[in-house]
Amino acid sequence: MDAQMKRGLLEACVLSLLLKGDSYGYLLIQEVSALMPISESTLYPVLRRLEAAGQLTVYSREHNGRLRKYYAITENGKAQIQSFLKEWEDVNRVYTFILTATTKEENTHE
Amino acid sequence: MNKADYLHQLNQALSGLTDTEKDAAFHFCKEMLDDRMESGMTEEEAVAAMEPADLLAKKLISEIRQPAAAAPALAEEPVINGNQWQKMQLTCAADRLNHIDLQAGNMGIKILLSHNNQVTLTYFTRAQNVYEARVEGDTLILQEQKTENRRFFNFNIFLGGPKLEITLEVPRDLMASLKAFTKNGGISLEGPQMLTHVELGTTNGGMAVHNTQCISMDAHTTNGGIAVAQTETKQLFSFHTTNGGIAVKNCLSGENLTLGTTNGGVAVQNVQARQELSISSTNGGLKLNGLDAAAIRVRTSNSPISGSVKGPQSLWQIDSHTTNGRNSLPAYQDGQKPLSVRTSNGPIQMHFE
Repeated sequence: MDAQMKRGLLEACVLSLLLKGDSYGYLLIQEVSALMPISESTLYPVLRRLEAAGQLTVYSREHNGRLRKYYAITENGKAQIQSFLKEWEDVNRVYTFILTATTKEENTHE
Repeated sequence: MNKADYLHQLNQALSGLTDTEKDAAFHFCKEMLDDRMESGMTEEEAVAAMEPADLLAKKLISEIRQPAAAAPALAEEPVINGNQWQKMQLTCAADRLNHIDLQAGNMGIKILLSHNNQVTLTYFTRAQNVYEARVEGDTLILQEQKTENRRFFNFNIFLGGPKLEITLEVPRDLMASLKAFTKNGGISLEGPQMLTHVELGTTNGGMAVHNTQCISMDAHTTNGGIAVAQTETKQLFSFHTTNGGIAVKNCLSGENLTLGTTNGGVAVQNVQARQELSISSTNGGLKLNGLDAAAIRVRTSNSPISGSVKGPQSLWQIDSHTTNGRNSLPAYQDGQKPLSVRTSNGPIQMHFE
């Protein structure tokens, strides 16, 4: 998949996972892995960028004698999800057009 | 490999980054290891589940540093003249920045809108006054480097060429804090709408702020006037000058709004604070039209006060006094909002609109 596109999808994915509640690194990696391949080196920059963009906040909480970083979505983050969905409505329209055009193409050449 | 060795390798491999960036990245990975072990993996299994330390570090470093802020480049061929100033330009993506810190020394600073998603800083440097701009983490910094050439006089002889001033172009929706300080230059700020905390300071220059919105703004000049228009803050809105006048028009603060000058007058048109509005001068007249706030405090000595407050009068609890001069404000105590207007010598001519 195109790197930029993957980044955009990952960002929206992470934000959506945070909608149902605050989460932490390891939990996020597991949940995203169910949808698309991801590793530490991909997740960390995504979290960092989302924080820089004000779409999530980070806080530390003690867990079993060590500090764990938790991530929480912000209002900006919620708005970003809506933005993403709207953009992909457009993508979907183009996708449908292309798909229709290719099936038509197959049909006319039979 | 055990956890300690892996983390040691990772720590070494991350040394390209600044301390803050390195700590954050390192702790993120360490936390992953700890969480994996907590979920039942042995140390060896947890390490094996991570990417190899040097590869992981390389990927993190390239993502953190990207898109690289262009190293400051010569904006044009060095101008060979008596000053030997070189014009430099640094550009970086706006979404990388959370803070901007400009220390300009002897030049004015002009902050205006860019027409793209970049932040562009144009500045000047020369052997006797080495200015350096760089992006450190999420902060854009401009500062003068201490050189040993202090014994040179600071000649700024103009033999034509570009005006010696710092220009910062920012996108309208840049969300970052801004600090801009200069000694012998003015500061002008026009356009950005989403700045967070703004601090402006100049010793011998004026200050002009227009069409700007931010969370808070705190500005001071010693020997210059202040002009602010169409500017809004969510929190503190504060402007101070020692030897200059203040003119403020069509501005709003979500909390307190403070204007203070020692040796200058204050002219205000249509200014609102959701909490306290405080205007004071030691030696200057106050012309304050269209004040509105939850509490208003106006002070000067040896000068007249005139203007208007958004009424009706019944809203206000008035405390008003002048020693020498007519006072148009009645001693009306039944309102809820405190309105305190005092001068030592001069008429008070204020009405409610």
